Amino acid sequence: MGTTPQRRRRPRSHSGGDNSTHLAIWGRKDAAPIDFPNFSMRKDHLTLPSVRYHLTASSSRATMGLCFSGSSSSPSPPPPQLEPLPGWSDLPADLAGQIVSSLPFHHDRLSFAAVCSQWRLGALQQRPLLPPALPCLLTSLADDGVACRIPMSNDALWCVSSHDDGWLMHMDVFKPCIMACDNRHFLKNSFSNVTIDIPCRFDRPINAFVVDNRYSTWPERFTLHKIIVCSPDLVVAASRLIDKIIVSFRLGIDTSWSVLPYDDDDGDHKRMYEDIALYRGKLYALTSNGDLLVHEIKDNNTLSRAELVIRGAAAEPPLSHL
Amino acid sequence: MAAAAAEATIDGGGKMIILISADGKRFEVTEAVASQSQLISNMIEDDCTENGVRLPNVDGDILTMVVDYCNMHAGDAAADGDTTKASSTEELKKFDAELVQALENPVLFKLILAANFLNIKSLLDMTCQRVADMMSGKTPEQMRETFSIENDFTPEEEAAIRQENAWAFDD
Repeated sequence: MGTTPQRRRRPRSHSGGDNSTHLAIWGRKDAAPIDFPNFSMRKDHLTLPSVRYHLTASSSRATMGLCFSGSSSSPSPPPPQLEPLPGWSDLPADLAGQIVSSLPFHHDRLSFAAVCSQWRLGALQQRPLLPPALPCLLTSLADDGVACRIPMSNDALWCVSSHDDGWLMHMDVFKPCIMACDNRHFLKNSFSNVTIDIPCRFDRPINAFVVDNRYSTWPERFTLHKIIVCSPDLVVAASRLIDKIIVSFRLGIDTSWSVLPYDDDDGDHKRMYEDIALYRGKLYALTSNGDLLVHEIKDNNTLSRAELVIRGAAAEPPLSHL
Repeated sequence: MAAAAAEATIDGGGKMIILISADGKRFEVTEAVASQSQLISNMIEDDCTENGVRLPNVDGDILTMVVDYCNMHAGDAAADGDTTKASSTEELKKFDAELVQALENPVLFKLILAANFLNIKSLLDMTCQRVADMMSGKTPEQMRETFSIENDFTPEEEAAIRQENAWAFDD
């Protein structure tokens, strides 16, 4: 299949990326299933500090998989001469499927399916049968790819989610407490073992969840779906309570998360932030109607007002405003 | 190879099976060795190995490797008590590691096809894992280079892939 000469195409040349290509990743966020690790497989992109995305780990105490993937990691020698017949592109689909099943990481599986039509057939046929891909964190990428697992040795710590640069968010579940908010939440870097205690309160009421303490969130609803440690002084997170908001927290200064104003410059529509990423020292944020915004990080480690980078295509307001 | 086969004759016990490669090379192995291939095992059960088993899909060079592998692993299937024959786990690991490390294109490809055809699960798993290891961390383009594959997607297919993996194809 797919081997007639007119269908053959020369391999694409990889030109260098630029800013706009990264922004495109954001704009296409709806194209990937929710558990896709949103990172580029290209080395020149991966080495940029800001295109590291996280893949949320399951909230279990199981071991976490970490992937340090390098694009030139294979120990294999350069490709030998072309085989006459048959070649790797004739790999039977069931065997291609078996090889895909042996790839533990999601991005490798996607790459496999994008090699040639026969491999793609195998990969697609195998897709419903694939074992779950290993959860992974992207870290600064070395030339030699190394994959390792980090044992979660302390049972009292519940790994809530994983974030950029090896940061895992933990909650001290066994500590006696009245409300989930009283639990100790902290980030721990899997590589350096540095921990950062984070607050679980906000500096203003968060929409519907106002209990006896109006600055608390509902018990067990302390949800930060993405955390970025921007610098040793500033942590930014995206939260998905009823409103999808961005919050920031200055280490050693703040005792609660500061909620970023989400209604500036946008009429009476509140912005719903879907995702955030740090790119070249600026915080980019994608809203639910597809707008790409950028926030500067000011000298005092607060975030500036949003500036629109790309107007989203989605004309419809978010569901919650209907 | 011949030595390995002869050795198998001495202590293998039971019937000997003759395997004949595509290029006419003959390999004499014990039933225990040959039965690691589910294909041959079925043939033994059906009594159709009398005149040798012709394997038109498998070259002599590849069959040599397969038979070596099966000889080495014959102990796996044998009863635990037979310690003289069964290779130690350590030895097996070393053997497998060396075999797998030495595998490169196009031998690796042929060995996968042979393991699949002969239905030797452990060998198939091992060789597929080797391919997977060679792919780890590579872009589609790098995979094509490694395995000498041409990009044969139609523009429509390519568009579908781009849409699916928008974040991965941004050139």
